[in-house]
Amino acid sequence: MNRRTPLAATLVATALLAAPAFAGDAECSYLEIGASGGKTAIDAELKALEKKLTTPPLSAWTEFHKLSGGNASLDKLKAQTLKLAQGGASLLLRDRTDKRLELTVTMDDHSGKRVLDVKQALAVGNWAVWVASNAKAEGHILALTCK
Amino acid sequence: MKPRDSELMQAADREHRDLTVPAGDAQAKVDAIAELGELVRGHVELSADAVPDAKFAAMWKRIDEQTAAPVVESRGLLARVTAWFDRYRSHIITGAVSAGAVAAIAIMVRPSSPGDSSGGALGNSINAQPVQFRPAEVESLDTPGGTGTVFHLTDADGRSTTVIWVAPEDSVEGL
Repeated sequence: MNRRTPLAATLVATALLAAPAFAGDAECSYLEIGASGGKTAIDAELKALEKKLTTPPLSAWTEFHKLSGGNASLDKLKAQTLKLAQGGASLLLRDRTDKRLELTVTMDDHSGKRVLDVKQALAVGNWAVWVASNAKAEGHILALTCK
Repeated sequence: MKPRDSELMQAADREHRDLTVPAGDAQAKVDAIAELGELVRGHVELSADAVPDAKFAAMWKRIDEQTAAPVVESRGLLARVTAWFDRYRSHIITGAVSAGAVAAIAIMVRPSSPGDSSGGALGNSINAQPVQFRPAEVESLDTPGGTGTVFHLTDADGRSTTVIWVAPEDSVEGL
């Protein structure tokens, strides 16, 4: 083997390793939460959000129950539908870097009526929370975090 | 009195100026010693002159070889590229090692890739992730039939979270 082959291989490997690590996809986790003003209770499965749920203005409610939750694997510019216990939601990853995601999120209520359509950027690892309240002072919360 | 040989040697070296050398054998000895001395001194001086000349000649020869312009040969592209790599090998290796070190640091500090989900086998498990204290940026917000409000909530740990709250327009108190 030529003695220069390792040098060339090192240069190529360095160039490949220096390339961006992300191809545009994202792995997200979501929680659908029902909120009301009943007795103070927060489901154990909501522990990751407990400190946020007990902080104003969300602390206006005292009872939080997990309705559904799971993971969503997002492909860039491909809408992903979330089947919620109450209504539905969709996520669209428009772009991302290693620190930031640009999302389009929609939420529909239990009757299928669109209640929210938002474009926002989310830092990787942060939570974003969307709340739809009704006339009965009950809340329907969708929380999302992505990496 | 006949002078001794040691005295004749001193006389030949002009160290014994008071000695009167009688003619004959004594004078012949003095002359022979003086001639032999001249020969020895001449040989030593020539040898001393010859040694530095040889050293300087070798040194100048080496300098000439090193400063001489390289012989330009008609070579192929591959040979010229190879020669270039040979000439700048240390620069290239330094650059490659530096780039490798930077790449290694970038790999170590970057977050894990999207495929490295730690969500576990259950579909509804929650990924625990380090939270950065940076609120989300809302580019556009549409809340058909309701009123949208954007909060930047800071919890007890000082972590900021963006909350978008949609209240029905017909609600009495809204939020």
